[in-house]
Amino acid sequence: MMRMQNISGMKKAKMKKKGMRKDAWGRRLSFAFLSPSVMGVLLFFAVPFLVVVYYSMIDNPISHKFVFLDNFISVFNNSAFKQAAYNTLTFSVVAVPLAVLLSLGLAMLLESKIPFKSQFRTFFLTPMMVPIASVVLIWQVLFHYNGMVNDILGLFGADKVDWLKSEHAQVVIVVLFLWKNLGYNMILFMAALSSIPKDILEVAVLESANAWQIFFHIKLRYLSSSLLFVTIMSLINSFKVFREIYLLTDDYPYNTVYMMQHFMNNTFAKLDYQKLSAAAIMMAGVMVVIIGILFLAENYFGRDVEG
Amino acid sequence: MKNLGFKGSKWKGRAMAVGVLLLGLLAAGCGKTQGATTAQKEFVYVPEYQTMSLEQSADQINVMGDTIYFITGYFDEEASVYRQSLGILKADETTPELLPLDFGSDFSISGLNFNMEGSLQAVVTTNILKEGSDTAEGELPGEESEPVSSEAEEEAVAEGETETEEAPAVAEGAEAALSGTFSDEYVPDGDAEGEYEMKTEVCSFRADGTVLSRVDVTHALDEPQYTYIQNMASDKEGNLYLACDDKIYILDPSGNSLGKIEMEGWINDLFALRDGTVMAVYYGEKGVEIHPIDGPAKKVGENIKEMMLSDYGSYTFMQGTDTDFLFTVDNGLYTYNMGDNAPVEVLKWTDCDVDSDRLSSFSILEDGRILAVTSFWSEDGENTTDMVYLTKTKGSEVKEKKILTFGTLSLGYDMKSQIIDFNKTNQEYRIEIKEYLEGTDTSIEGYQAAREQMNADIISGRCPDIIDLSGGNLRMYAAKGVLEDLYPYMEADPEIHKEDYVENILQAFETDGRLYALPPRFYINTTMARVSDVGEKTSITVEELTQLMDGLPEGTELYQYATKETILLFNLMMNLDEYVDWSTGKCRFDSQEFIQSLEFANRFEKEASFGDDEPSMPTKIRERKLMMVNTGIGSVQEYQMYQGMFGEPVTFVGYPTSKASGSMISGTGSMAGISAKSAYKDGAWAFIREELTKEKQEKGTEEENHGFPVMKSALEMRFAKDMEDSYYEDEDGNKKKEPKTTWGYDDFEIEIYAATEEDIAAVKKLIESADTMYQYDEQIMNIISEETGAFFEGQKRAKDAADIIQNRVQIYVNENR
Repeated sequence: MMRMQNISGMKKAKMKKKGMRKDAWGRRLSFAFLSPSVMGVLLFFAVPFLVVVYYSMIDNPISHKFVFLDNFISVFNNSAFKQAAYNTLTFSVVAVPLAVLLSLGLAMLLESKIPFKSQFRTFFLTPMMVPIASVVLIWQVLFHYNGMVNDILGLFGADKVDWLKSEHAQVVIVVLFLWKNLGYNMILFMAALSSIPKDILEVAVLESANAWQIFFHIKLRYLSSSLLFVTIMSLINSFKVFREIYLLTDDYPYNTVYMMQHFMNNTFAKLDYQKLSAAAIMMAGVMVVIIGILFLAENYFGRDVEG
Repeated sequence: MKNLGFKGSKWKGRAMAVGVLLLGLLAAGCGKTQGATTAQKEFVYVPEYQTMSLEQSADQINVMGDTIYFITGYFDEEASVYRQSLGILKADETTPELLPLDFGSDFSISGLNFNMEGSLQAVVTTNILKEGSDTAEGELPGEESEPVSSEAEEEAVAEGETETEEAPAVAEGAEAALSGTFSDEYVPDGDAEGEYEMKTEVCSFRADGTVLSRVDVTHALDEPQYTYIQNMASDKEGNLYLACDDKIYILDPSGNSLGKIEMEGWINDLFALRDGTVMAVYYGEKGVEIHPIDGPAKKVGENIKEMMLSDYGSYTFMQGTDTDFLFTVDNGLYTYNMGDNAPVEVLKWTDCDVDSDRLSSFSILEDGRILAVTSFWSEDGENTTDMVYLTKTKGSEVKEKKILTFGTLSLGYDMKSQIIDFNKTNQEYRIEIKEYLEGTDTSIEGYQAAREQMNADIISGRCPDIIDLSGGNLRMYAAKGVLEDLYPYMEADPEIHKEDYVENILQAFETDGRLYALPPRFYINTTMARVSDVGEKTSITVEELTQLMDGLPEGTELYQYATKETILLFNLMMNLDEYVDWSTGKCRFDSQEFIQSLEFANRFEKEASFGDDEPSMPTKIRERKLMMVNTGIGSVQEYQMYQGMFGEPVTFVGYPTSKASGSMISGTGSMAGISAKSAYKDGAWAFIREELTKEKQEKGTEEENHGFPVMKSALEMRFAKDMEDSYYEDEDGNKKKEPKTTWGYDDFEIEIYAATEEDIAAVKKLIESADTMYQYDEQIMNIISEETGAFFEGQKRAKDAADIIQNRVQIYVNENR
């Protein structure tokens, strides 16, 4: 009996050892498969990020003297940085909600029974197909001091407005941003709207819920993950509006459209890597906080509709 | 953690390893520059220099086998004849054999080359006096006539006592005498065409100078009187190819015309390959083109694009021995065989201490050495011909030298020459050149890419030891800590002392009390005007200029060729520090002063008009049709010339400003700084200091170097030389005063005599008064240029344009603080 027990124990031990070997082999194999991705992430994300952190804490890329947080303090006190941060924030606060709400409204409109739905859909998607250089050219033709908008205003006796070099500049950029992004957001919302279970909507109608109640209590709940995605994408795109502004107005635009990307681009060109790095880290910090809040909001509002 | 199957310690260990790896990568990217030496090179070309003993210049140098052939000549004053010889010099010898050439009384030789049989051939052009011509004997077409002014007049000019007849009446109270002359209508050389006829022959002769054949080709040329053959070659059948402008005349060996080919551009070179194919080189629309020519068929082959390395570089071609041909462009020597995908680089001339700007000819000798023949004309008219024999040697077999890298976008000729001199003489260091703009891309994008690459190298640790600052990057590099302060090096140097240099020049080039670079010479940017017009001023405000302009008579200009943009640029160069206070970050482009400057600039033309029949600038000044002249004064003689041009006392009012002086300091000559990351800072200083030494500062003459030396003693020496008279002895042995030199500007010419004490005092006062460096900020200038366009077009008010400029520049200034 003892012997049987011993044999059984030995078998178990052998099996355990075999299992452990198998586990170790499995781990190694999974590491081998993971390693290209890990190397890629390290090489293209982790290392550059660490380099940025390193540069943000030295006095300049030549002497490499460690200055800890001096660059952050200097950048934070820099009035150009403050202007850029303010403009970027203002732009995002105005443009992102508009981009989400207007595209949602358009998606709802195109969901309803209206004529020429397909044509409208194509119309709103067209800006996505136009290359950015052409978009900028069109905008320049429209909003230049001698452009079409001023010509039309002139017909009504209005004075010329320097749209891109005045307080109105950010309005022009917001309009450009919406024109460029509404179509894409609209398609995402239309897809999300079509995936809402029809039976729930039918039940709501049978129970005499009005359109607003259906929208707020059912559709919005089901759209929460799309709303989050669209908001994040719009937020990211709002930071990327620099490209259009740069092509429209160059390195140093009128102060109302001077964005964070201008600050970073210009500091890079002037070899101020330490300032650039400090600004980039601060901006990344703000982005992490905003996106974190958005995730929390999505978790809260969408918790009861997600599987 | 357990679920994932990781043991805590192992995971930490791996994380540590990754961390160490990343830090290693970081450290690799940020490492300091390690010094290199010549011993680390696989091969180097060791130069051996020899100077040709020849009193005259050697022209049309050709190398065949191991022998150098050239044409030389001198003017025989006794016989009043220019005598020419064929020079022959064997490799490793220095004294050439000179074989007199006699093709008549007045001949010139061009296009010296070898035909397929190995005989020398050249184009001989002879001027023959037509029968019945009344031209005085010995006077050739184009030869200068006797000066108009008499000796008495010359003396008077030197003494500053009288006026010349050509000059108009001087303003009342003017003290200085008028000097200089205005030439009458220009008479081109060709005016004597009716008296001479030109004969063009192709001559072949033996290496001993014996003429083998003379073929008259005059009849084959379109306009023989105006056709001067610049290049010549012959193919394997002996057919002759003669190039003039964009035409190639093709003749058979007997001189019978086979036809003519017109190329798309001015023919730059014509040469034959080893197989006898003749190649034509010209500058086409997109750069240099090289085409094979089939003479008898009158066909032009395809452009050989594969061998083009630089669109508009200066190419020189030679027939090859082992390859189809050799050529040099920019700084490299290359070989090429027809059909190859690309040329093969043999060497870089600067690596062998050969100045490619002085290169006359080159060849690969039979023993494998490369022979480079250089020719140099000094400013005093002396010619030196050097032979440089380059021997390929293992890097480990030559004397080891530490390598300094000289980083530049594009190497200037004076810097190149200084580097070569340094490499020849310094026993410890050797400079290697890293030219970022090398290659074919000369576009703005190419320039920007080169600049970005240079900046990236500086930041990433591959920084050159010496950085060229002639391109105007001084302020940016200084602000980023890229450069070493030169003052500590001056303090430690036994010969170079800060107090020996002109104070206001040093101060102008300082940044926060540190000196990162100092040009060897400087000049003063200023504006000159008559004292009778503006008084004894050293500066003038925009209001004063506006008043002056309001009072100008019809047809009188304030500045010549001034446009709205140039006037605004002058104002900014002078007053940028008034509009931007970098210490507080405040901009004042919305100030009344700037608005006034915009309005003043707007009074000028949008574009300068250059009329064909417009009088020259000196004539306008003399006729009081021009009030002021913008110029750079870099020598006392220039001041003397302008004073002569104005014909009355002048003052330097400079550019419009409310400062005490309106004149600005500009550096000239090469300027470089030491990299703060260099492993051989002492070596870099050894190079930088060279141009600042007493010897170099005092050596250059006004003719050789434009600009005043920065060393006080050298400047004083220059002034003393300016005050010295020049004499000659007449036939009776009497010492007579003669002009030191002659300066000309358009149709105005003036003989320069010794400067007076007043001249020197005026120039000294100008130098001492200038305390501002020429100010230029590309970004600010771009913004201003963009925003003033609408104002200058009359679409915006000056105030509106100024407000936008203020807004945009303020962002720029804030960002850079």
